Amino acid sequence: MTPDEVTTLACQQCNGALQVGRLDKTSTCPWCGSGNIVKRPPRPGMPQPSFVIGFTKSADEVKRDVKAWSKRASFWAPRAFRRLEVEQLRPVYLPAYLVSGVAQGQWNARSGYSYTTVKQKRGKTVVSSQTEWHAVEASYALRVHDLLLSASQCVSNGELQALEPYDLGRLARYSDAAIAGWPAEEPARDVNSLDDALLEEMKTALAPRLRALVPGETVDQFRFTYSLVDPAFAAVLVPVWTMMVRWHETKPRVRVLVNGQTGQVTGKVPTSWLKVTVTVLLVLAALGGAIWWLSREGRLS
Amino acid sequence: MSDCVRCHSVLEAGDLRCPVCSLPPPVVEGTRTVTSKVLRCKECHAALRYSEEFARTVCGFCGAALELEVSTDPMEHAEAWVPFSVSKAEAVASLKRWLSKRGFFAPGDLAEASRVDSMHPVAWAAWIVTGAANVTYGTDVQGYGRKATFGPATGSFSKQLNLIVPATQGLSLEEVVELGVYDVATAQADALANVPGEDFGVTRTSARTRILEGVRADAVGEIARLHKGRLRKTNVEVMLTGLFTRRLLLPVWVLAYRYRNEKFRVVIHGQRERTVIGKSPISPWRVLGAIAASLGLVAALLGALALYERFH
Repeated sequence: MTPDEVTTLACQQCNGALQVGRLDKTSTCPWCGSGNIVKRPPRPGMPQPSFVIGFTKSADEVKRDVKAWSKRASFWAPRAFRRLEVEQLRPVYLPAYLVSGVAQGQWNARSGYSYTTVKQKRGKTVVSSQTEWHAVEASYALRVHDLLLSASQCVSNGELQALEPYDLGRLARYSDAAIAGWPAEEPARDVNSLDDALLEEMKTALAPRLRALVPGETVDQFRFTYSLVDPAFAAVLVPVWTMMVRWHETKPRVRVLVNGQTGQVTGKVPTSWLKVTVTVLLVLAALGGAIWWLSREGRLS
Repeated sequence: MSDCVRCHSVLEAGDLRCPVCSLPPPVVEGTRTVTSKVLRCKECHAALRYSEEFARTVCGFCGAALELEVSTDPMEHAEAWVPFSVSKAEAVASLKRWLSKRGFFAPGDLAEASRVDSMHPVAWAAWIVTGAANVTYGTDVQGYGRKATFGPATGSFSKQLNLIVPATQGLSLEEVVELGVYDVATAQADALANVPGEDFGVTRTSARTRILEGVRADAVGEIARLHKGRLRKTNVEVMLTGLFTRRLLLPVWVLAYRYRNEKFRVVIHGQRERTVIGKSPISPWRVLGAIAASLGLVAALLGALALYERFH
């Protein structure tokens, strides 16, 4: 952080100097340990938080969840990764936007219906099944709710998607009480910079709902257009545990994120190139052996 | 209660955001300069910290807690009663009239020999839903194919809603459908004397799910009216605006009548005495007589055919 990005405030408990980063919504006093909540003037395009989802997973539970996740890692992960050590475990209220609005557009597809035909061919009855295709299209307007988009500088929308779902039934109206004593971030992305991520989220949310509207026993060439009308962006703080995990002395540490409400874990699992190389060599050896055996038997022309 | 500024649906106390379109109320917070604040306990003035264990903010010194404001999900309660306009005597007369018109297979003495066993005024629970719905649908319709039996139908339409969505446990869905509409303009906040009112027995969240199911079922009914023929795989997307729901108790007479030691239940609309729903006995003699007459007719026809063939 550059000096411009740091503001020095007085701790409201002990009057000690409190260093506050540009995107810190809370700060813990280094002198007395009190949790200070930072109040800022509104910024254009950055709505004030409307809602917050409180943490329900403790640090100990999260450590257990991460260990269990590493043990379930794929076959290609290094063996040492399954015995990783959790370091620098840190909770953070991550800023995000809950987007709602009316999705409008058109869909088109081919709907197929099967029927059977009976024909006489050289004195024999031939029964065949065929498909009758109809071109179908329709315009639509439907509500989309609860599209969750990251507004954080550090956590991408893809990473947040990997942590979802959050139980929005536990959504609480934002109050300082919900984040008191916990690190929280200010939004770093304004609502106008979300277009690509929003369109991607909308596509994912709309596809199954529109696909269900297509009639037919079989469906082919399903396509749809979409746009969001009258959108509303509600700023929400979602609970995330972040940590760096060390699994090897010389290898880079891996960043792992955990949903602070459900314990869902996400992170980039490293690949063991030794395992990959050995597997490729074994496959090549097996192929070579098979070819040698077939040629010796004279079955290879 | 207030209106959502986006979809004009009615928000109720305890709603954090619009139940139809999810729009939250605007946030009016902010300062002119960057400042810091420590949240203090109202009891002992110690600094507070949110506790993940208790999912609320707890004072580590005196144990005082600050609850977060979450969406409430209260049990549904009736807000008004619709009064009876059919008296007990009119209901009994209506039953007699209905019994006398039960058709050929009913016993001839059904109206005279039947005795009312029990009779209760009951107020059944229902949500009265008004608003507008924009429906988009896709369905398979029998007869719409060229060579195949089924073919596709898609489309969209708008309709004004004025629905009764039942919350009752005492009446069957068929009975509710046959009861039809009520004039709810006369609904009153005071309970009706000596009339037991049904409990809704569900939370607001469950109620909203059931109301949406009711709206969807109504939309499917409209699609069936638009496309003649058997439908299958009907899927709808319903976009609601201006949704307003009232929780009412609707009047109905529930009777049990006895005919030759057999008991039958009848439900009479509390506002329209001609709407009578129930079951009635079938006379086995009349059924046997009908079968015998049919067989006799068939035998006579066969005999006539045999005679015709013999002489021609």
